[in-house]
Amino acid sequence: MGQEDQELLIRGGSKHPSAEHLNNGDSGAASQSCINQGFGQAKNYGTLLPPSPPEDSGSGSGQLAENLTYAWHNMDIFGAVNQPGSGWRQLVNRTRGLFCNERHIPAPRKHLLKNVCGVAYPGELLAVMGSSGAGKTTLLNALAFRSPQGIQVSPSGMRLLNGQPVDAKEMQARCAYVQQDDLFIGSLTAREHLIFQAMVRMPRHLTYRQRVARVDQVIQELSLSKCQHTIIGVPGRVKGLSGGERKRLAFASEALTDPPLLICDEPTSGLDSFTAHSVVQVLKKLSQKGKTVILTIHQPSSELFELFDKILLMAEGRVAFLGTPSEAVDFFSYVGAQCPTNYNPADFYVQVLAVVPGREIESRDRIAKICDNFAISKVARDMEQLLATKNLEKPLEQPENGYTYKATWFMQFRAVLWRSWLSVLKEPLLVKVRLIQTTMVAILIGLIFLGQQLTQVGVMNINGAIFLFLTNMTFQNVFATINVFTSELPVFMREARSRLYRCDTYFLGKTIAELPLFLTVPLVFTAIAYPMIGLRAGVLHFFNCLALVTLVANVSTSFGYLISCASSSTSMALSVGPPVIIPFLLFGGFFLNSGSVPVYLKWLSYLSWFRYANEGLLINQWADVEPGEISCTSSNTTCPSSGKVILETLNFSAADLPLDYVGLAILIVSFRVLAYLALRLRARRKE
Amino acid sequence: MSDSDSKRIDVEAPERVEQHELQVMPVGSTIEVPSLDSTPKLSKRNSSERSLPLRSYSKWSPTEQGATLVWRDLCVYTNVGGSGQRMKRIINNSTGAIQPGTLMALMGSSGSGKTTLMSTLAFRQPAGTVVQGDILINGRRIGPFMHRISGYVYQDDLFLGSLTVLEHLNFMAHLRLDRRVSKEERRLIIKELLERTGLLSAAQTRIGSGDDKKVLSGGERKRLAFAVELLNNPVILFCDEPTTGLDSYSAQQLVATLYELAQKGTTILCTIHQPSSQLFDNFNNVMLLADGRVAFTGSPQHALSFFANHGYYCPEAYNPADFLIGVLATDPGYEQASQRSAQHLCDQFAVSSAAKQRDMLVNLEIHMAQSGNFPFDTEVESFRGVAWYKRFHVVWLRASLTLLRDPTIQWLRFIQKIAMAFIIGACFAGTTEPSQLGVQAVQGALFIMISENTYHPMYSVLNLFPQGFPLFMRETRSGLYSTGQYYAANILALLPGMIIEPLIFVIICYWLTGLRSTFYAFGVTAMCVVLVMNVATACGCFFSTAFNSVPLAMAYLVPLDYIFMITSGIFIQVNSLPVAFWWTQFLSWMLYANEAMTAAQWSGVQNITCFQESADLPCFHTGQDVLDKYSFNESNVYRNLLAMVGLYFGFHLLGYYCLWRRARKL
Repeated sequence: MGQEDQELLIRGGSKHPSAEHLNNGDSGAASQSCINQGFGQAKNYGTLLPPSPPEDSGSGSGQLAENLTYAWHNMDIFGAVNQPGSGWRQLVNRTRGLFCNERHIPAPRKHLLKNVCGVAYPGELLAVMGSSGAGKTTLLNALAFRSPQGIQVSPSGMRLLNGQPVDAKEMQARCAYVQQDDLFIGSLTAREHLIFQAMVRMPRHLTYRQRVARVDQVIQELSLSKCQHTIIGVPGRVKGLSGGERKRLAFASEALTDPPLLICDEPTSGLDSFTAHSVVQVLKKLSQKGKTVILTIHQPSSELFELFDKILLMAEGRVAFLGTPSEAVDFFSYVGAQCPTNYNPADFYVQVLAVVPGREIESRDRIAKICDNFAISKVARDMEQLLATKNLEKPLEQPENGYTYKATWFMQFRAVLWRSWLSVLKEPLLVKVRLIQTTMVAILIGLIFLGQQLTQVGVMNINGAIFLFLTNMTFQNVFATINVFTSELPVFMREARSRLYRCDTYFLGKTIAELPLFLTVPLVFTAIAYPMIGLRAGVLHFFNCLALVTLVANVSTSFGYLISCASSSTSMALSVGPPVIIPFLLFGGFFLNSGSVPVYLKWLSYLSWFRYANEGLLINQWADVEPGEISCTSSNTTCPSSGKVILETLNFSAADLPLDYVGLAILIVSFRVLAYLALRLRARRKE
Repeated sequence: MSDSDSKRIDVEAPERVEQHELQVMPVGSTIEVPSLDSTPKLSKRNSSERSLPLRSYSKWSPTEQGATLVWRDLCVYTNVGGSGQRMKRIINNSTGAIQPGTLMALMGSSGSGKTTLMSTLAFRQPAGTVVQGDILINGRRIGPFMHRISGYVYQDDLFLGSLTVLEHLNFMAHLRLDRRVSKEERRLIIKELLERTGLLSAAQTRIGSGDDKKVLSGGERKRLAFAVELLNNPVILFCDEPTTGLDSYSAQQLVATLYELAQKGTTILCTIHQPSSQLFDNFNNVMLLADGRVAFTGSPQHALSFFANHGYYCPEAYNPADFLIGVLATDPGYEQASQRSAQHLCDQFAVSSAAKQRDMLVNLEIHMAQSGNFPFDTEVESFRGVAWYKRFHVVWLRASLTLLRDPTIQWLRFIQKIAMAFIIGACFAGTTEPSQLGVQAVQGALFIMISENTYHPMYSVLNLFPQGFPLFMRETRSGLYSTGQYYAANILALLPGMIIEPLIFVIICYWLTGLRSTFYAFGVTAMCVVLVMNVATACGCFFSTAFNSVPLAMAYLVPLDYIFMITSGIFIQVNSLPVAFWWTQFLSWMLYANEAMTAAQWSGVQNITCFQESADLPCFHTGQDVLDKYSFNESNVYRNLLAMVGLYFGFHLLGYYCLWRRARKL
């Protein structure tokens, strides 16, 4: 049905006498025909020239705002082709190359963009449209210098800002790139998010007050004031901002630094028509302030389409049209595809430029015809000329300074610490649930082991209870850390890629912000369970136990960081975690006597925090229990007579207590260092 | 182009009148069965020329005559929130009719009641809605038989992602078709459907879910959902937002398929949100809803002229669908004004001539219902579904395939399990000789074997029922299978894995750790481990059906497990448990297993070596001493095994009961 319709529309259009006329390439004779009303010399399309400068052109050069004309020229982009079995074939090729002295066998590549030219002017909203697979996002990524791995931008392509070639770093300073999926930390409010962004994004010399003022201004500009104190939320899990508000918040974080060029990938996808309209309206407002805005869009509604100043239509990796919507109408009727009335022009263009499955050759021919026609049209020629005269305007100002990061180390650290602290406080999974859980478990253990006496049975039960302290502290903290940390990692990855902060400031800030919690949890636990079970009385004994349990909690947290940083996703981390912990657990001295650890696994038992902590806690409990304190019947040979005997049967010695403390401390430090290194490696690898 | 548009309206208008005349005429006329294939292929632009099926007062047979669905003064209320009996009116006094061969689009802004109206008409309204008014299909009040004669394509299509297209269709054909349909016929039907929906090339493709590769595209999924609904050749088809989430080309294809279907005499009602201009052209009838009221019914061209008559002109180069919805939408910020104007339009339509024509049709149908004398039951009653064991077999096969195909979970779990067995075996290798240290090591190894087979299987099964619940509800409500069949089939599909996995685990673990090498000891241990795993999964199933959400089930299950673990004998002597936790020893399978396994290891062992270092260290001399330490009894082995079998069935019965209650409630 689709093809028929398309056919009908196009044929209907091509009945237009003049169109056929021109298709013969007889442009001279057509000077009278109606095409020339659109494309002849008689009518001058001013739109390809920059629009009249904004009224307040007198703005000082010190201001961040400057008007940028972004032009690109001859963009050819190649992508890697994934052939079935290509891994093996490549290997064969490589080896053959080695032996047959053929050094380089190029991998097959796909031509994604073919000689794409274009220009975006300040004060204009340029929409890149096309059916899926036309190369919209590829172009946008290339324009923003964010092409993913495996995509090659051919060196012949030129990207010019105000007529000067730019490189990635200069682009970064001037261009804001809003990606299709937005990532936020869900427990912050919109305002808090913006303040954080202001701290790490804006130039160093600004004071805190100036930054907050800018945040307020941006909130006003993007009409976020109603929801500025709403938490952002996690879609599907925690209710928060709506889709449109999230999108506007993403714009707002980019708009803080007032970049003159804004590039948005599919800002309206997943939004309903009203919200989509309001989002594009916001972009339109920004463009009217003199910014250059480029966005891709898939199927805009009629309302949306009316907001665009310029449209760039793409098909099969080529430019099918660039110009104002009204020019598009003329151009398409000129090539023989007239948009019917009561029909959304955007739908129509996308339809005409789509490759219809089953009729590929025909549609490719049509697309080629349209693209060729555009390439020789006056609009395109004008553009070429403009590009040819390179130094359009004044040369670019140098970016403010040469720093990679906008904020100093200390400012980054403070901002990350502040944000992490806020998210710790607000994340219910972290604080409220954890504390309630800890209290409940402590009371439960306390009730089951309530009031143990020093008898043979009591000794067995107390040893069991002490080991439960350790397992509980470990598993609870490892899983809590993995859950919270991995859920935030995508945000970190993106922000680290945008060079908002360094890897080490993030890791330090994050871990320090979570520290208080990991001190409180063991305190609560020990304070409840210790007296209920009736472990060794005495303040010193209690604090000894508290210190050991706290250390265990922090070792397991560090281990949790290590697992989360080293694995690729939450589920991966959760499935890797337990099997790795099990050997440590077995060598803790409870399930397996520390005297009978197999020789070849001895080294592993030195990494087991269970072993250190179990030994420490048992020494704390039994070392000074005198013979006779444990009530045994004299005939029973299985009853330990004194505390020393208990330690001896477990192969622990009372002199090792300081060693246990040192062991735990070393484990904390080394796990954290390893976690940091893993995180760093990961951040670097993704670039 | 605009000329031709207006011309089209002019041409069509008289035809429409004819159509209504035809409708009034057939009182007492002969029954004429329109043969579906002989209908000449018509251009869709003038679809109203189609010959209409004729109806009689003496026979009720929508499959032969086509289905005419009418509803009069329909109000639908739904429960708002939990506070008492507060009802909200979603559909307000709506009247309408759809005739065979019509492709009607139900449009309106979000929240205008599209989906509610449609699910009510299809007799698939969600639980807790109250329906008031008449809905008649060929003069008969709708009832549960709607599940058989109508198809309903939901907005969110639910599939088991690991099946292929062909398998899915096959299973569905088994469940949906009459038992008398032969194997050959079934194959033909499926083949024909695959061709019709253009899925032939994708027949061997996995349906897929989420982000794995090699899967159907969104459009193909939608078409598959259609194919399933078309299996039993419905006379009336309801589609909820079939084009949402599809790109324009797939949407176009889909609507084209619908259009062809309508041409063959099926009645189709379709809600649609933001159709593109081209899509909109395909519908020969639209119904516009505003705030639960009907703002317009009739052809799209009439809609535009009706709106124009009341002062809303559609601008040129503007999608008429966008325009119509835009007029009726509630503008945030101008709620009052926009609602008032929409209500005004509804009022205007209620008194328009189009509404009068519609009412005439409705009244005719109702008159037929009152005066006709239909032998209602012949068509509905003659259907005979598949035998229960056949259904059970199909559901079981499907569940097994899903488990086997689950690419990551099943194999990853299996490998992980074997790796764990090796790790544990390596840790305990050579430590379990009969000495004082060996006693500790054996007890540790037994505990690890139990807990390894308790937690992971229990938590991994928690997701089984909640994940499949939406699909189960949808299918069980349309009568494909019963709750018992579903539950038992799923459990049975789990069983082979649940026996093989722990067996392999225990073989590796047992010989690596070098536990007691008698057949009796190994046999008891292996049985215990297998039973532990099965009881644990049964408990997981019970909790997941009882709470039907993984986090909630976890919240209750984790503390219970924790208690079971603590009281399994190794951390605390069972006799010294406080009175408040006395009950755990009857429910804790970990304790049962631990006692049986310990007894099997130590019963009859006589010479355990004592510590060499000093004589006053405590020493277990015999196996009995070890059992005494944990207050275990060696005569309890068989009792414990039986108790675990009892727990297994008990948990599953409870699980089934919870699922049954949940299925009944909704």
